[in-house]
Amino acid sequence: MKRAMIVGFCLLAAATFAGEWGLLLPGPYPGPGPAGPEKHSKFFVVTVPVVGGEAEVALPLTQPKGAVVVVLGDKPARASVAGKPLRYQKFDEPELETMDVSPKGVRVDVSALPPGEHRLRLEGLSKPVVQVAVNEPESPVELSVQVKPLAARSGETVVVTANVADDGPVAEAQVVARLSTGVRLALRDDGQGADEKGGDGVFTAAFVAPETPGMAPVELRVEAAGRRASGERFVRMAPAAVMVAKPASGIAERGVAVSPEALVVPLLPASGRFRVEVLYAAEGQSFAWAQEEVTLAGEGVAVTLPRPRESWGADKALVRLLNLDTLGVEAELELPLTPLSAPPDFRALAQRAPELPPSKAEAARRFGDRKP
Amino acid sequence: MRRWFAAFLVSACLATPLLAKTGVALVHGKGGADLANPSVAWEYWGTDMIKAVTKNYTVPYVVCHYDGTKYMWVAASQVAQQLYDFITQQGITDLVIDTHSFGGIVIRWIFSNPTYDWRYPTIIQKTRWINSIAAPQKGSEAADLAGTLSGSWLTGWLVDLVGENTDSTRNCRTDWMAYYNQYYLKGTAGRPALPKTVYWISGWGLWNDYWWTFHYQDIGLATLSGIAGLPGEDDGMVAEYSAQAVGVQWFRTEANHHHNRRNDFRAIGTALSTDF
Repeated sequence: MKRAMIVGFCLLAAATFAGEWGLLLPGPYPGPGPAGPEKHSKFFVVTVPVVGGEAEVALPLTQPKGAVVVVLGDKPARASVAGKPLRYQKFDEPELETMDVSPKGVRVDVSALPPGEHRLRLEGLSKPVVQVAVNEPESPVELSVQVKPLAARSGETVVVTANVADDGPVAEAQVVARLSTGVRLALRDDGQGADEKGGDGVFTAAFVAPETPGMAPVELRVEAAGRRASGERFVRMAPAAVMVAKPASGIAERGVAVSPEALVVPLLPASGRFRVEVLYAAEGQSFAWAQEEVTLAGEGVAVTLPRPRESWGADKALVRLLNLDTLGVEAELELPLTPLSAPPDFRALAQRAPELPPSKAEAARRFGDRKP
Repeated sequence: MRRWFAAFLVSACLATPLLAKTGVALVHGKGGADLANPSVAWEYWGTDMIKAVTKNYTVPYVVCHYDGTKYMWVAASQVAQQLYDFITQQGITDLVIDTHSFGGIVIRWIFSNPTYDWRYPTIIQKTRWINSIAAPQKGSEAADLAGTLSGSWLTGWLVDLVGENTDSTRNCRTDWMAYYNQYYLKGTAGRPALPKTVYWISGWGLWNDYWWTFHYQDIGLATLSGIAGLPGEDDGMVAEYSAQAVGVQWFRTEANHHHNRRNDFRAIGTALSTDF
């Protein structure tokens, strides 16, 4: 009875301060500092200056069949390799501008070329610089890139990993990451520094997240170049980003107090709007959450988040402090919990497919297309 | 007395739906700063689309217009004012929101962060549901490509010639959306549910009217799809896995990103009008 009254009071108090809680859409438990998405690239771009309306672009093609080669931002009058003209199609799609891609360009057909390095000669160009972008979807040479963590605090270490895959061992590869801060990182596969194991094909480098006002991204362009076992040259590029925050607050050293009824999260003195979010998980699945928001004016505060009854089956909780002014992530903390009951049935929750209202179901039948 | 009271309750319950005033809002995607101009936002959809969605203008409507180069929370502020004015000035109690592309992200920001802005709770409360056409909920590889092509990575005089990305394009990159999905947005797996249901429409066609009219345009979208390496099926700008990451399936369409905000290649507007 006493416990019920305490829970009831906590829920009422939380409601007063606009807290939210409940079950989640079930999903993998991310843990503190999850990695960014893994990028896979069979793409590279070459940017060269135009002299007298002409440009010569070196293209190391590993699989010209099915390759998409595009001259962006200009429409050359002629495209050729070793004096032989290549077929091309012009395009003009204003829609591309919505993604900041040049709406005008030319798609060059290279499918008849053999694998190897080719010098693409472009004539009749009108701009002082030309970009040629190449994607080789049917090539086995693929660059994979991942950055961890996705959200870092200034001063924390960020690890960049890259892998060059081919249908056999790669004879030679150099991988570098260009950072938007101006730093150029050489990724290594020698088992030194941030690289865990030498010669395993996984290239690694680390950098320290820079000081930043509030929150700002550090963007990366990872470039891999080298030779395949057959001797052909290859180039691949992939983008990535890490969001860096300079914390204004933080979770006080005395840590989070846990009880069956609530979590109490002590925040360091700060000014601004903050959100404390808790994700509850069991068996590697997040399934319940609670959040509370506070506005601080230079003081510290202990934020109480009532534990939803649904969370009692959790074996861990992830506490996050978010800054609503900068949209940065100020702190992430994992807490072990003693389960107080059995966790909910995740599979049943995940498989509970919502039904369409009848009008929408009818519209879906009338207007939906089925891909042949 | 008890009978009168029961009759009153029954009539009140019956009358409530009759008193509901329905409206529809259209929220466009990203683009230029001139999308803050109402006439440019109107052209984004096209008259045929707006006419179809509103059943020949019989359903009260607002065509939102915001600077298409800004981050989602900046765009959301502009959109929120227009939605709030529409709701309060027209007495709308049953709002359906139709979004295209980045417009779906802008609206998801509002519905994920009700305390961020004083106008958001009213909008959320008065909304019936959201129809989200081809929204890059997990980002778009086309925006990643734009980042790789931008001048940020070049040195010297080449920088100014290639150009930079806008804030909204950065917002649509897959890393950025992974970040916001992880920490600030609701509706994806492992995150809290949105307070109102999202019904998604995703596109998988590329060469829509290539053989009849706009073939230069369709070559452009198909080329972008090929060069950006959009995984799986896509509409030239947004992969289906991304458009389908939030909400409940409504239907898939062959209309590409150029056509799935219009009522021409497929009757998307007529489909949306079945909500009324």
